[in-house]
Amino acid sequence: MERKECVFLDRSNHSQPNTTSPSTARPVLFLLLGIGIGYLITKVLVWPIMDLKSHTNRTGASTSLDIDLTDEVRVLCYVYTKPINHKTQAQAVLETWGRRCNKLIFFSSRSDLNLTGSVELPVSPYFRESWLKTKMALKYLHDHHLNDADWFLEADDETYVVMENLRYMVYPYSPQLAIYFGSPGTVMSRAALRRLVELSLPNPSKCEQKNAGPTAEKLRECLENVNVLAGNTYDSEGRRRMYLIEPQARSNLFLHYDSNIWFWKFLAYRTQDGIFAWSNYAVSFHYVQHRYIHCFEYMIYRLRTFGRKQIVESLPPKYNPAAEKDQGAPRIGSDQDVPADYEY
Amino acid sequence: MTAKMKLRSQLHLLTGFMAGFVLAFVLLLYVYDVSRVTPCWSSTSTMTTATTARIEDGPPPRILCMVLTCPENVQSLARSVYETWGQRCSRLIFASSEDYEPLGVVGVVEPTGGGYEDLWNKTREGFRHVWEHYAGDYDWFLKADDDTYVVMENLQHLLRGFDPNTPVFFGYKMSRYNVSYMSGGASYILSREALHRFATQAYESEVICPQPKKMGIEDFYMGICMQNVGVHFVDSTHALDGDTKPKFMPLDLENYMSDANYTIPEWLRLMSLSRVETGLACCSNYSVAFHYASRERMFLYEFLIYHLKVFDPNQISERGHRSRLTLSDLTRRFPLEDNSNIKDLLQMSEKPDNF
Repeated sequence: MERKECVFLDRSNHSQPNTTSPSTARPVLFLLLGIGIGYLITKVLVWPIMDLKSHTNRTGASTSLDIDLTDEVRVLCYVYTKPINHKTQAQAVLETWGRRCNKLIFFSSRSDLNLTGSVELPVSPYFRESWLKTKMALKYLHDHHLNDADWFLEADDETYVVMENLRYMVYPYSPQLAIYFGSPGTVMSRAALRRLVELSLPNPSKCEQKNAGPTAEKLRECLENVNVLAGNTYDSEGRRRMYLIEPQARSNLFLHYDSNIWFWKFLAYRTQDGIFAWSNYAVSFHYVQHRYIHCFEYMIYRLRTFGRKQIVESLPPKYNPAAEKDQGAPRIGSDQDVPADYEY
Repeated sequence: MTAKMKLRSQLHLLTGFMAGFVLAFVLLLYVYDVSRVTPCWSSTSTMTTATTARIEDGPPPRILCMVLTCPENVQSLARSVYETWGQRCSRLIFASSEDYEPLGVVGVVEPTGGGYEDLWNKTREGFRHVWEHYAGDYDWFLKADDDTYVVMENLQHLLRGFDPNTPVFFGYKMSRYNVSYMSGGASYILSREALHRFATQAYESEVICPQPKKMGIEDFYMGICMQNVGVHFVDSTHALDGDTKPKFMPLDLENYMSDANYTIPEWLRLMSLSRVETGLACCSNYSVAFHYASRERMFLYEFLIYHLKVFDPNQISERGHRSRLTLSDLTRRFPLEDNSNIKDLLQMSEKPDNF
């Protein structure tokens, strides 16, 4: 009888600790587990959406750091000049907009220690531009600077370029897309330069071999014969952004608009338009004398009108290559000479 | 017993899950709000500043622009002024020798005159005409040539610090025969009180103000008249605190932009009160007027200043609030000129040529 009682008591004592211990430990573990799961689910599902919105807002706020495209859109500027212009026109380019290029090269008939970035080409010292000089310059860029920039801007020493607006114009396009804008005053992507120099220049059936004659028409033909796209230099309101002729220069007899003069026939866009048909995001001005290059610099970057409203700017969406591929597919099929390693 | 234990475990799990969710969400909101609130504060601060400036500064100064022209220039230069900066004047008047209603050209001198030799007469009669018709309606009176380009916003910013009921004469201050005057080509501005004194005291007095004559030196003569009626000369070079560069340019901007010295004529160096700088340091960032602007230059200025946008502009904040100078402040900062040599034009010794 005593044994039975002892056995019963022992069982009671033993079972109670067992029951208490699991109930104490398990709720805490479950609680922690729940916290972890809830946190992970929220982070995975909700945070990405918020991050995107936050980034968009930050971009919309238009802080200077966010929309500085200098390093994102690298532009090499190559400027045609001649020895007699080194101290005036070329120097003005060097002191003003040339500083905003990622790299600046002057092509002349002789190099000049006082003109930083000057490269000597074996061409005539009397002509700032010629087709021979253009071909030599393009080969030089391809051989020495192909990987130094995403875009290659052609200019002469009477040009003024708003580099910020140029980067803004080409930003949507990938440098792997063979595309060019404007001619003369061409800006082409790295893929376009590569295709031009490797496929077009050596091929007589695609590119003019003779060294004489106007440059702009020949360059445009050479580019288009290897399926380099011609980009649109008009803005959303149909106003021109490139090759804006300085108004004072129009009073020059040579530059007076006349559809019969050969000069105007070779322009990519042949319509005459007034100064207010220019885009507000103008890119390049031409026939600017050297002192007026400094005037442009002052009026664009120094002079301010008090109380002028600040504009909230945002970047356009990236150009979608897939859509272009669909449109470009027939061309790819039609041209067997384009190697497969070209993205198009 | 077992059922109860299972239920408790599930409750704990659910509680933990909700706590985790709340924790993550609170962290998320904190991060999001931090990045979102800063621009809002900045915007609020900007708006507050703008509102404060607007309240304290009152309405912008009303500026009447009187532009001297001639019949041959009405369809070219005068029309360019009308189509560009003239649109931003409170009122635009052209003073010429013949009327031309479409542009608001008023004939203030005889039809036989009107050329450069009649410049002084045109200025005198123009100001007289303006005083007779508009003196009570405007605060400031700008006189410019038809080949001048004026940035009106910067002019308003400049004039906001001065009381139009005090005698003030504004412009690019120069000196000739030891007599101060404001460059005419760079344009100059009279306050309402200054115009009143000119029209009522100087206009008809040959003792203190040169009378009409051919080939009169317009800006030099106006300087004499202003001095003799007790008007304060405010050199725009020093009118803005912290900005000591010229804001009125007697030459084309192109002449200032060369580092070579030959583009600045000797007469400007001789008659300017301070050294004439060249290059980008020549001029204030809030410049007001440029002279020798052709029709093409005016349109180019209009495009570069008011139309061209540079992607990624420098967002420089502007100090909107400027206190207005009282008459005593004006006297202290811009004291009256010494007019002892020209007090009585009839009794002058050492008369300059063509006086």
